[in-house]
Amino acid sequence: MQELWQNLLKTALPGTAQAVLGKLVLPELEALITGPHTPESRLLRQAAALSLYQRAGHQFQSRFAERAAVAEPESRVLCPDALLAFWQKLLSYWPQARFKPDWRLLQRETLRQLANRGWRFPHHLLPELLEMGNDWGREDPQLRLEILPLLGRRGIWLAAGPATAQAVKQPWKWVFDPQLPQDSPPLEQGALAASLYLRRLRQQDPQAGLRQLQALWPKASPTLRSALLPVLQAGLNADDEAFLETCLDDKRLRQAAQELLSHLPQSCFVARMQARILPLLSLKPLKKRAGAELDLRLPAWPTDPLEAAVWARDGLEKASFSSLASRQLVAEALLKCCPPASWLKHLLPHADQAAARVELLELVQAATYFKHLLSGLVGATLNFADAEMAQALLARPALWQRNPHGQLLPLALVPVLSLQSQQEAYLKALAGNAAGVPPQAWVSRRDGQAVGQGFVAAWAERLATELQASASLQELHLLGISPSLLLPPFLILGAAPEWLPVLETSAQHLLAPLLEAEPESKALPDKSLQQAAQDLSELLRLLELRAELYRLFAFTDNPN
Amino acid sequence: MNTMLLTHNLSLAQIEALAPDAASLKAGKGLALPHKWLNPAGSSEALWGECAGSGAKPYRTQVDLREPNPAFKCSCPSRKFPCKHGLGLILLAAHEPKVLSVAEPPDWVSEWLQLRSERQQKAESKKKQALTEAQLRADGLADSASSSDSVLSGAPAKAGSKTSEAEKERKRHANLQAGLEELKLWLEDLVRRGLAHLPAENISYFEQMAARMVDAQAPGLARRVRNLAACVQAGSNWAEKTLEQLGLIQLLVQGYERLDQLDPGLQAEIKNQLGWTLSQETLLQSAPAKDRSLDNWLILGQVFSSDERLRVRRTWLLGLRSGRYALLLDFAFAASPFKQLWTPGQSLEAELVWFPGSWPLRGLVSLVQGEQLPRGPALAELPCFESWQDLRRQRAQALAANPWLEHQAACLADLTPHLQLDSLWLEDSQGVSLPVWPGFEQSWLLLALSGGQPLRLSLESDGERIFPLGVWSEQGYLAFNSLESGGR
Repeated sequence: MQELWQNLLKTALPGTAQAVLGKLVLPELEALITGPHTPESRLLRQAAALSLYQRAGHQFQSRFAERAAVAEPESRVLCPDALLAFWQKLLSYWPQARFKPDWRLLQRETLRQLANRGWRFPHHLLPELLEMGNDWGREDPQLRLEILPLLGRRGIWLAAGPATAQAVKQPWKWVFDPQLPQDSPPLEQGALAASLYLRRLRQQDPQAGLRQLQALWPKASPTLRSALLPVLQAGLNADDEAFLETCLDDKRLRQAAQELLSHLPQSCFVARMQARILPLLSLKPLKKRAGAELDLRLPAWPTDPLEAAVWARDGLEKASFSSLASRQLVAEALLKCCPPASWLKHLLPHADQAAARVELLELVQAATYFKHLLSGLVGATLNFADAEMAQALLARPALWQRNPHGQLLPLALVPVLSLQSQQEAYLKALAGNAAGVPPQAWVSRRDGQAVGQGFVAAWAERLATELQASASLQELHLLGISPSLLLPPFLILGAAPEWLPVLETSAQHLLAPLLEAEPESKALPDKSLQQAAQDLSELLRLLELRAELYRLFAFTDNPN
Repeated sequence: MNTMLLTHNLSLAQIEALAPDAASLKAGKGLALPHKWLNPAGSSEALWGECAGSGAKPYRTQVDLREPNPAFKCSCPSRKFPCKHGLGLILLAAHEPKVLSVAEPPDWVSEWLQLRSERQQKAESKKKQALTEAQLRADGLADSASSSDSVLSGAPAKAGSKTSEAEKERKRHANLQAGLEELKLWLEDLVRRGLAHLPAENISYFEQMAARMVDAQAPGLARRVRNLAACVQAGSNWAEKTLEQLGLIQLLVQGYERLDQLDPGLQAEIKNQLGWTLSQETLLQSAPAKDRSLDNWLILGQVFSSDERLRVRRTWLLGLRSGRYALLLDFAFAASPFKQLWTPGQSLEAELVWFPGSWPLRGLVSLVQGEQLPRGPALAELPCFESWQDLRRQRAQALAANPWLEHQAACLADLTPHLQLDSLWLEDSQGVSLPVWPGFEQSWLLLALSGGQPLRLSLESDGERIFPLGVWSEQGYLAFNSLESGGR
């Protein structure tokens, strides 16, 4: 049949004016073309008959495929419908959300709680869940770890790229099989999966994670080493120091190793950095009056070649010492590697610690190199998570007025504070006493201890007092009291589940009337006020959903 | 609350399937937030609310929930249907029913509901009348019925109407024949000069003849002539495709020449292919009982395509009692909405009227007698093909009856999806694999549902390519979202 068709084409292409059309060799087809015809009409009739025959007998383009592996049966229980519906609802708020980091945290919490209950997602939602891990997990690897158990066996199978002999472009390279023996990272699945595997192991058993990383190191390519070294951030401890020191020898790993070592206060690296900068930091008596000023001499590149080699190994470059400005930046970087306690010990060894902190900040504030000293001290406070120094810094609003880093600096310091300090500062800010720090600095969510009943009650009491004084959203808006100050995300997302109903009831009782009192757009004179109403509504929604999540859990955990 | 119950009859996926396109769905999701609405409310029959837009007044959006397929109305200027506000409101009701207060519909809603009820009643009574007449005709009583009608309404007028219909038909036939004569000459000239000259031809070469076919009241032929231009641009096998299309045109011309020698089904098919179609109203009124099927129709899925600005929607149904497949073909111009909403994955107890043809496939839903159910039936109840070979055999039969058949739907058991070089294949129980149309975007979903095990799938095929419509999973029938498959 194909041959007949090709013969027909041989005539059709040049046309009947130039080529002669033959007869169809199949009598049953020829019989269909009856009567007197011109060659053109004859060709068209043959085309009609043959094409119909071809289509009717068309063999699908087929091939015998090699069998793909079959997914293992599921061992986890399917997530209840009510929670799946909740998950879909939670996702539906995402596109329009303004408090995206907070919604993300609730999503993460939901996934973690679902996984903790031994559940898994249904198969039809797996591609979406894996995509979420791809998109959001780039910035937030922890999210990938929350997703992993929910994939079930089917999700692991799917992410592995249903194994066939042909190469398949595998879109979810971060997934590894958590059921495989945990004696080495799954390198065959690529660097992303190995990195996630090690991150999880480090969270569970930091020493085992370090051992496995060290074991694969000799065989690992430079690219793989660069990809895997940052996993040590999870569970970083003094046992990692020796390994990280060896990484300083590799120029490609130096920066990552230096970054990790600068968080270990007892490390040799930190000691070397202190030795390079603290002797240059001194108290110099004032000439015209009593007292002293903080003096900083800028570091210089060592003249001894051996010493210079050690400096280079620690990530310092000779080129960075070429100008005054760059030396100032080197000094700042070195200061960030000195724990705040070492500043105090070096400069004010005899003073009481609390008094010494205040004195140090006064000295920093008056120093010639104020900008670099402040930046160095804040960096050191963050590097070594020094809650007391953070509190001292935040309690000194005068620092922020000259602060070249603007409001970012106090915002960065809040997570280092103890939860209690944050709560106290927040309540003061709500009362209009933000101590020079932008009030919204106190509202952000932090990991760690859950917010308990005491604070929920204190918040409700303080809020009620404030709302008595200013009864409308418009007044609050004019006073600069933002919706997130009224209902802070650290409270919404940090409240212990058992206090969520109380919190939800209080929030609805106190804050919902603010929205109900402004239902018409005419009552909202400007865009920023409209935005404030929307923000408050969104925060209430966030709280409602978190409370709903735990109501659902209460039902599923105790169905009777 | 009633609204909650009503919207819960539709799953989220089914609500999302109501969207005219992906952009509307995205925008609708963005509006499914309580703060976007002023006074959102609902009753047992409807949802309504006001949504602030770019205009001075908020848009009034309303949804009629009394029918299995919700109806929408909005005062916004969007030409999409339903618009993003309608979608936003119904999504809000599904997600957050407690945000909507329960109330009596305000005037602007109750008036619209009333108007819709009246229209519905008129349509129903018309349909019932048509059904009765068709029944009478089928019972051989039509003549006496119409003669008694004639007596009552005045026989001369009836006779006059019949004469004018016949005259109209005669004129159309003459017009068509003249057009076909010209087409024949054009085709013969084309073949004389050879296909090789076609790639050098300007598009107007085809457009002029297509326009002539439109004048001859043969839009179906006009489409096929225009398709020739696309075939010429079809790549390496353009000559084969062009010759095949020429063959189909020739078959149609030839068929019309011998129309009176053919059986009525084929006659109707040829007329249909030429574009001499029955209006839906005429079909509903004239179809005899044998061309009506009462069944529980599962909406297998939808495929959208477009021809310039004309959008075409193919909705495939499967009769769960009869095992028959049906095609609901709908058209919409540019951004205007499709008249009827069908939600893939639902089933409805309904009477379907078949368009006459040699292999009846296209139908029209005349009467919905039962509510649409949210889930498909159990696996065991469904008739389906066992292998690709079975499907091929059936297609050969279909082509023998209707050589111009393009798409058909089928359900196949035991198909295992697998990936090879990033393209999806479906392997049947005989180990034969066929490639899925590359535009199918839910390969990973299909793989996730399969886990390497065989599945029961519904699909559309044009004889060469496979497009999955839906799948039976442990959670019932799941229709694939075919919103993005435009341009197939």
